[in-house]
Amino acid sequence: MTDLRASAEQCLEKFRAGTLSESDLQSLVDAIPKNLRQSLLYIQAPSSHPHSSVIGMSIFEEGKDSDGVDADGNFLYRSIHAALQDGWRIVKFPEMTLAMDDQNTYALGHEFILERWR
Amino acid sequence: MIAPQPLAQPTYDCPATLNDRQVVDFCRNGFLVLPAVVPDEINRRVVDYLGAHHEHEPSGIIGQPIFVEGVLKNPQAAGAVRSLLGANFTLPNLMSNHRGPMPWPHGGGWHRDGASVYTPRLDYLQVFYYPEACTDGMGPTEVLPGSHFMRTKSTLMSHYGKIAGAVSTAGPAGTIFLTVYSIWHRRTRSTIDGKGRVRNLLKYNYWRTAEPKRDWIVDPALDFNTLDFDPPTAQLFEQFQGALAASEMFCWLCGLQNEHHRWGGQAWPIVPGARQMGMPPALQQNTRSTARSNANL
Repeated sequence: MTDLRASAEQCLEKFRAGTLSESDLQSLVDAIPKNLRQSLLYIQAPSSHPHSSVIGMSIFEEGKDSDGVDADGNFLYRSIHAALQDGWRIVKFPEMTLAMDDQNTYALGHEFILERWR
Repeated sequence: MIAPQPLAQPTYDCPATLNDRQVVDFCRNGFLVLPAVVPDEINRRVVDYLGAHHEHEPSGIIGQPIFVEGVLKNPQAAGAVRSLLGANFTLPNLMSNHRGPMPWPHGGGWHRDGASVYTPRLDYLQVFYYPEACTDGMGPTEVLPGSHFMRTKSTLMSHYGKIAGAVSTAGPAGTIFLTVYSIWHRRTRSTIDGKGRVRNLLKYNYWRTAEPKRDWIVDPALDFNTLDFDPPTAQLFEQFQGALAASEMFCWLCGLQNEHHRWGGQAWPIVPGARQMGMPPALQQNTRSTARSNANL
């Protein structure tokens, strides 16, 4: 994403200088990632706060452990905030209908679903 | 009301081995691990039997006297069952063997077993037995403490991964662990090459035939005001809801289900150490005897 932004800024500078060429634009197009695939990160948290800590995790991304742990068995992210800092974005917030029965506990904490495209 | 049992279903009785605190802990955790309680000779005989019987349900082993005496009536395991299910519990009538391949790189998904119901009642126990040592690399079963109070469906757990507070049941040969049927569990991944061998894990159920009552090892000096009823995974619950659920199960086991009420607020058992409102009167007998003892000092 940084490379793409840098290429676009270079094109803008060349445009202002009157030197923008077709090959510059082609380079910009080539810098746009193709065939992106969605990755999913499930985080179960002890509260609905979007910067909450983590009580459960799983990840569905090529090359990653599906338990959402590092080589030492620790969570890949200690908080939802840490995942957001690493480029994930929340696509689903916790299901509040589960709170309608406040005397029983349903499922595992408050589940956030995050995605990124790679 | 107790579930009707099949005609001529064998029952068993033996001394209870758990005390009040251990029964409370079982209610909080939903499981109890008893490491290496089955003698090696019996473990070897069981492994030999399973080596010749590869079926998923080798229930013929229930007819083997050495298995009945050494495993099903094992003093520590049956004593714990007796503590939780009362006198004359039924012996298992079905045996399952989870033959886990090794290696098994992806592990199993979190689930509760089929036909789970959520209730403070404890009418039966699901029990597991490792006849051989099961190391972490062999893919032992992992259980989630307190999850017997967490309602969901197995089909909605399949995306769960690591859960904070989950506990491995890995242990030496002869390890038996008792569970509340609805506890969440999964087989962890196996990272070793078993060279054709499998990890055997037998699973069977005992059922209650007696109405619940507090007839395990009673500690008359125990003050139930001092006990923490929250599951060790309290962070998985709204504050104190796990403790309320565990205390309700404990009261049911004591035969005090009509004395347990969810009063809310700061009522028993959420503030261990304080003189709490709302404790069932029958459990306060302990508190009174302790107070009398202290007054005599």
